[in-house]
Amino acid sequence: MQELVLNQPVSTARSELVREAQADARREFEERLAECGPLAFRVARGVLRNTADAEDVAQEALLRAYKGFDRLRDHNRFRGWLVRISFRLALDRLRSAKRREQRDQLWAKPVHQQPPMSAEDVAASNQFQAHLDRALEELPEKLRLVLLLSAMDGCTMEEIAATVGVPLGTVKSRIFVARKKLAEKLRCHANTIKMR
Amino acid sequence: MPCEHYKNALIDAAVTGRDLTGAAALTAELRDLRAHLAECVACRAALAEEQSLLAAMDSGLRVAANAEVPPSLLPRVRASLDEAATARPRWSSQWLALAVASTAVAMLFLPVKFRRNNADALSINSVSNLPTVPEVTPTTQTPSLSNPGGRGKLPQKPLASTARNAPLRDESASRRRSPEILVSRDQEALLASYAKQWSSRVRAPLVSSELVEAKLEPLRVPPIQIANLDVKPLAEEGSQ
Repeated sequence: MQELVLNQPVSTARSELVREAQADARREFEERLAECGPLAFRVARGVLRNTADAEDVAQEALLRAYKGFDRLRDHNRFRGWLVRISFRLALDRLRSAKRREQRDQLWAKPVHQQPPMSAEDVAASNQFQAHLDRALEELPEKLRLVLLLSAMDGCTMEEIAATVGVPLGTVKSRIFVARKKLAEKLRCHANTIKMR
Repeated sequence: MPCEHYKNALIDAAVTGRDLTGAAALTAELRDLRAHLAECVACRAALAEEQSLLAAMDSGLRVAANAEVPPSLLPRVRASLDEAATARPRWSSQWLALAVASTAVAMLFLPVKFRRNNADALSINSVSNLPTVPEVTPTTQTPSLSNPGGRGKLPQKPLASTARNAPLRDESASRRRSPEILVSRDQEALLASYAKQWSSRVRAPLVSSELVEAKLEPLRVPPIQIANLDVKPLAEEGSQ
């Protein structure tokens, strides 16, 4: 009994310390959540093109990030870490959804020759959007992520380099290659340029 | 349609979004392209189309990348974080329950496995003992200590070891019966007669207390006749 009396305050103090550490981690995570939550959603939305799915993926990504927050040595790299988690989860979900869906039927439809439209009109057309989605899916992952981040408002090249963890020159070259490949794929289907 | 020579330069210029008409410093290649565009209507049209395609692509990408964040996202995430925080201790209890359940299952199945192994070992022993059984010849009918008054009488109950071995022996016999051995007809007939003689024999007791009065006659098995092999020379290659 005497031993119990001696040990009890030690264990209580230890559990209080653990509780305090958990509360601190939660507070720190909450601060980052407001800033990075939308980013996780947008990355997932860029991959999935579906708001409901992207919300689910962003939630899962943030939950995983929270569970692994203690193991993240450099908390300044949280942004890039979260982006990668969200991107991976979105890709996984897209792959599993692709198994269920038969999108080939969409491609089987012939592309109609239309008069030239403005950029906004073209982007607004569902057919073009479907082609763009498909072309994006065919891009290599590292190119796709950089292209998505570059399309986000207020995301500079330096931020992308820091997020992805590659040099600035690599980011620029990846964006160039990604845009060129995407344009090639879209050109094949839209038949925009006819060579002499 | 653009000229084939300027095709790649046109695409690169459109992808980079560089302004060819401005006074910005250009490379020699771009200066050449600018000079060509000034006099080639088809290449100018192709560049415009390419720029239009890239603008549409960027517009589509921006739409996807800057989608409005649903207001329910952060509350949902906070709720799931709360749930995860409260669920953490439950994980340990779940693991504990899983460990207890798996131990119980293991405890259930281990004795069965042990019994099976034991049975296999016993059956192997009984099989290996079988041929030696007829070799035991009763010498004299001496009363044993356990059954002093039972001279010349069959025991009312078989011993535990014999009783245990009996079903195992049957099982092992059925196992031995299962694989078929391909033999010639005369050997098969010999084996059948051997088996008939063997089955007609009374099983010899293993313990002296189980001695039977009837005297067993030694088993007589005729030697197996094997015909001489008729070796013939191989046919010539030309005949094939």
